Amino acid sequence: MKLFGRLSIFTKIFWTFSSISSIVMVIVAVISYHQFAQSLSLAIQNKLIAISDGRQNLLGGTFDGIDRFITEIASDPTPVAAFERFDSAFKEFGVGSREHDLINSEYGPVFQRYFDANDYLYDMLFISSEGNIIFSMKHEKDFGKNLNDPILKNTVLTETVNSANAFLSTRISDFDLYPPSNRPALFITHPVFSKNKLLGMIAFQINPEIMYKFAQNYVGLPSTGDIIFAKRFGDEIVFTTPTRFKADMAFTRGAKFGSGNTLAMQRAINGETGIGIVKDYRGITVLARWQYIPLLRWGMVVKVDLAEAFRPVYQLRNLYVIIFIITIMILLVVSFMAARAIATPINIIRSGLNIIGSGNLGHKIALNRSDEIGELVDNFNKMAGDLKKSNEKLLRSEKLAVVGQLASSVAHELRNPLSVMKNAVYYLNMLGTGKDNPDIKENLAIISDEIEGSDKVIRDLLEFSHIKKPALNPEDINLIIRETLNRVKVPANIKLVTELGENLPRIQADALQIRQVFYNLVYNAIQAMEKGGTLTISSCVMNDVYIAVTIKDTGCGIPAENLQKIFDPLFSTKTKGTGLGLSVVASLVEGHGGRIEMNSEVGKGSAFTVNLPIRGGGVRNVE
Amino acid sequence: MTPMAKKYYIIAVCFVSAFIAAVFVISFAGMHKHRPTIKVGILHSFTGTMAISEKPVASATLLALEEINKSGGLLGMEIEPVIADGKSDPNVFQEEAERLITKEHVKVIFGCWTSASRKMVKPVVEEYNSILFYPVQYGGLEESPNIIYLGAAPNQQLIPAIKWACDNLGKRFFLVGSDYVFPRVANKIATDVIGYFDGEVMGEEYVLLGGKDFAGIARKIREAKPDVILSTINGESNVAFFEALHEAGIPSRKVAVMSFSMSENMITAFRAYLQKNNPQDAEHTFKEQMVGTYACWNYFESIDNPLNKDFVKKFRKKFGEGYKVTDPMEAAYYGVYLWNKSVRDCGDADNTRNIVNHLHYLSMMAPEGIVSVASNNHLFKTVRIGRVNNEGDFDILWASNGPVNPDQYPDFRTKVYWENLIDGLYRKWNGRWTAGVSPGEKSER
Repeated sequence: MKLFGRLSIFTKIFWTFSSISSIVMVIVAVISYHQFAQSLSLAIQNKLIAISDGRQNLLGGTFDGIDRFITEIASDPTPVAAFERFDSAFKEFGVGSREHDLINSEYGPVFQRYFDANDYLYDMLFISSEGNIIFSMKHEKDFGKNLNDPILKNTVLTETVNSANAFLSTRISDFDLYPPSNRPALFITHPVFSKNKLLGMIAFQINPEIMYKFAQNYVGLPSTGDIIFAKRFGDEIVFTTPTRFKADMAFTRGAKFGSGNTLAMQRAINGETGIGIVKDYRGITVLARWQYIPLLRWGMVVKVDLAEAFRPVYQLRNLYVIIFIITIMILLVVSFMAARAIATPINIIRSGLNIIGSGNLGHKIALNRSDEIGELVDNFNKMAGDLKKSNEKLLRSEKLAVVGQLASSVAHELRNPLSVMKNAVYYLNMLGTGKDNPDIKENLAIISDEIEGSDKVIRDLLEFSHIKKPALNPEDINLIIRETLNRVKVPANIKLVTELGENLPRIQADALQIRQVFYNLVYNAIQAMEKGGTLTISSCVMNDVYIAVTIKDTGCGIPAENLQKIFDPLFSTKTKGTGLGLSVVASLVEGHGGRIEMNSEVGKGSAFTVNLPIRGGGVRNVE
Repeated sequence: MTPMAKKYYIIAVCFVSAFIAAVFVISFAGMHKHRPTIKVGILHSFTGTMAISEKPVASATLLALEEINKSGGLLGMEIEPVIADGKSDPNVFQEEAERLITKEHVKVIFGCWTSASRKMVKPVVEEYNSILFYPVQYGGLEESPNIIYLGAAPNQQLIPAIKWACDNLGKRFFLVGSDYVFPRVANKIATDVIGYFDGEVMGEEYVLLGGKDFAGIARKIREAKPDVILSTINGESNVAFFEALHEAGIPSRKVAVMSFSMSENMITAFRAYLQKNNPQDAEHTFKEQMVGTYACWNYFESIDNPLNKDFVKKFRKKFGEGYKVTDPMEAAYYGVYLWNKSVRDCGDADNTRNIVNHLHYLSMMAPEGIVSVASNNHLFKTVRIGRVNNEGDFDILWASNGPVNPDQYPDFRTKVYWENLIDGLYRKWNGRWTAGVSPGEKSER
């Protein structure tokens, strides 16, 4: 994992989380979008194909039906007989003659039934083998004319009659303007035979509205959907029906073959079937299905604007992009939070450990958590605290040992000269030296006082160096307090208050040592109140576990920076102190398994509380 | 890395490697598993008298299948052709058709040439609801929901050719054909049609399929002095017929011959025959007798469009220069593509009804122009009349204005009449579709 070697744990976790989740997101998004888009676009294509095929079949069915119908009429004795009679009447008398009209009135109602039953019929024509139109239902301009007549010569009717004559089968003409009717027309022509003779042709003229209807049904197509029919005319495409957006589209010319637009229609007219994205006659990109209509030799294009066809796909894509961005953002935030949740405590622990490692065992790692990391930190803090305490203890006992040794030897060396000096002063006083000289007397007193002071120092030193294991006996603490106070000379400017608890249990203690403790504390208190004050000594039971004795003064107090050190040997704030008093106190109290606590405020005073354990519940002092 | 982490790392690597290896093994095994194919039957005569005509048609069919396979197959599968030999015997055609469908499980059969063989296969494909793509023009008078008739119906060859002959060559006709179902039916129709066009039938003669004795017929023709001979002679008999005309001194400039079953291959065969038998006069005789004769087909090799040029080039590339592409070959070729397109659109090669229904009104651009399947299972086709030139190719003289809708039952007589005609022939030939006794042999069309 060299790649990540230099990166922080946060960066590693963040990038790992966010990149894994992003990769998964991208894969899932791409696959599902692709899948959805494909099925959507397939659905649109299938719709176009279905509509296109449906229209093809509708056209096929319609024209097959017309084919069957005209074939049936051409072999039905009634119309065949009519044909022959019209033919002879035409030859003998011509159209408009009484004879022709008579036949017409005889057959007109019969033929009218064809028109009633088939709305696609516009006109029905009988064309003799000579090419004369010998019968017409509508009696339009073509009636009675020959196909070689200028009005008919180049029409779709003439073309289809010639064709039917060549193939002797049903022929469907082109759909084009038919001047005699002054409208577009399509003819379906069939030969009429009688007694091994080709009589001529029957032609159905198809109503152009029916042709338009094939195009003008847009059910199932979206709003830009359209159905276009066109045919080939020379090199050009000619539209044969109105389009959805251009009602006068029929018989207008479109693009030339080979040009870029209307490619779908060109393919359709060339007999191809297919679907694809192309430009239509308007130059707009469309999704188009193209197909050839063999019956009419037309091309059919069913199309829809690409923008609309793929709108659902585009919408889906946009939705995907939005969801993707939001999800990625959420993922980044979650990754960030997860990385931070893991990395932050580790960093805090790391910096805490750095501080502790540099020697500050008192440092507490500040991390308040209830989980495993919190437990880890708590345990670590406790461990560091314990380590600090035992370090301090070790340090003090080392100091104590050194000081003890030193004190013992110094005390022994000084004690004898001091005794000699003390005897000498005593002797001088006995002699009455300085009786008359107040200066001498005063100086002797000073010497005596200083010897007394030095002796105290030496005693302290000796006590300090000879701290013994306490000899435990059931003792009344209050009694020890009173004995101590009896030995202390309380200056007049200090008011002594005692608040000793009643019925305190006796405790296992060394009376001498405890008295020494109280003495030292009271002595210190008095010294702290040079300008007078109140000395309060109280005792009580704490939690049934300790007896707490508090010695409180209203003296100068101890500065905060010294609080930690006052129990160290040889530390003193007083000019005359040895710095051993409190150290001895602490040692003695610890020897009893007790604790000493202190509170102090500069200028207001200090309070020392000695907690001595009531071993085994103590012995109640019942009075 | 601690030893523990190293151990897990190694285990993880092993797992991943094993997984990848498994995936490879499975996909590799899958690739080698037998992939499904779509089986199709090719049923033509590879032996016997029809082999010369049918083998090139089978080649055209196979070429189309090969092309489809090369471009990715059909429905993701390869098309597997199963080739069966009809041995020029209609009975063998029937047996082989049944075997292809029931034993080989082919989805479709491309095949047959003679109407005699088709008529034997028809009940088989109908019974098993299979599909036959039949590549040759025929006399019509037939319909089947299980056969796609790729060749011309009477109104797409016979009738317009007679009309064109009446308009351009004269109205006195002499009908000659091989003696089996197609020429008999065709001449029956032709007789009617000639009547409608105010023409005259000067004579009607037949020889057995594969027969070579045309001397008597040539004599009759010389006596009858027709303007046009309508020939429905099939196969190698064509060579003998033209030789007989030559012997009888009836060159093409005197009496026009309009053939309905004589392809480019037969012209080559005639030329080869002449060069073998009379090398000195061969070219002269060819020009006298063959050049200037007419044929009516939907496809001629000489059709001038880029698609056809590519199409012919493909054959020449595969089978050598001088290889002739004929109408039935072209029909067989795009027949495969029509089937392919319908199956592809239907998404299923098994559903005969769907495939046939979808074929209706389906169009494609073929070398002959646009072809489309009509609802009567015949094709919209362009009709062409060609005349043999000095090179032995056809000059196209006339073509219909676009594809013509197929009409397999000429409307001037009832369907019942036509069916009785066919039944009568079948009975007359004692339950066969050809006259004569030729065992397991020849018939063209």
